[in-house]
Amino acid sequence: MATVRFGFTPAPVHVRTARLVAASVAQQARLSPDLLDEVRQAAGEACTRAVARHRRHGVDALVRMKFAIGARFVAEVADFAPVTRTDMLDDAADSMELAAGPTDEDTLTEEVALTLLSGLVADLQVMDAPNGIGSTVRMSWPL
Amino acid sequence: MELTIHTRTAGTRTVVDVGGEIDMYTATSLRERILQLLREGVTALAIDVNQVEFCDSTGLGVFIGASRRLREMNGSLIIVCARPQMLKIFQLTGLDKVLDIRDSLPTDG
Repeated sequence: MATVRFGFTPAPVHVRTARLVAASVAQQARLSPDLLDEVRQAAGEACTRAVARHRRHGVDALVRMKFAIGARFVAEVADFAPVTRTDMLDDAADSMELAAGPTDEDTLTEEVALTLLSGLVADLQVMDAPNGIGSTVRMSWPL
Repeated sequence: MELTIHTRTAGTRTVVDVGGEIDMYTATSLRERILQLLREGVTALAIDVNQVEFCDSTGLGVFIGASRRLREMNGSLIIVCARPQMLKIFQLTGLDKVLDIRDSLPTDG
């Protein structure tokens, strides 16, 4: 199984690079061209969420991406901010809540990113680290 | 592609034409431009996203924030969008049900 790893300082400017890396690796993996935009958007959302979480909690550690190319194309984005929510997928805000909520900018970004990821990616998992520090967004697509 | 922001008026409505990529890096300038317009007293706003090549959750957050602030001011926000790629992310997030999205600017502005 081929693996590609990538890490970046949690700054908004690098999320764009991360999107390009995700799209490039997916293309090299011969993912269906119809899915490339979805991978680019989804990887970007996961990275945006990670950067927003690092920024909200003042965490300077790198955001980590990992791509595995095997029977499926698997993308994982890991952050290292304290877990403040559980059952994230079940807790994805609905649109009325998103539109009305008094959340701060980074919290709103995190909630919208999760909502968008839930709608975008059929095989999506958001896993909290057992020690309460960090979460991983895992997504996969067929090859 | 960088973000482009141009402002014009159409009737009584102020229109912000946005082009390029709205993401975590560029959304700040769009948010600041909109906040500036609201500070100047604009209450009837349209954001035309037909030239937007890419928009992520941060961009959607800017639209949500603008809608929320204008509602508090008894104002109105129209999102002008006919691009399938953009419409898809509005639909996936359910924001097509809470934002006033039109495929073209109303003739009355």
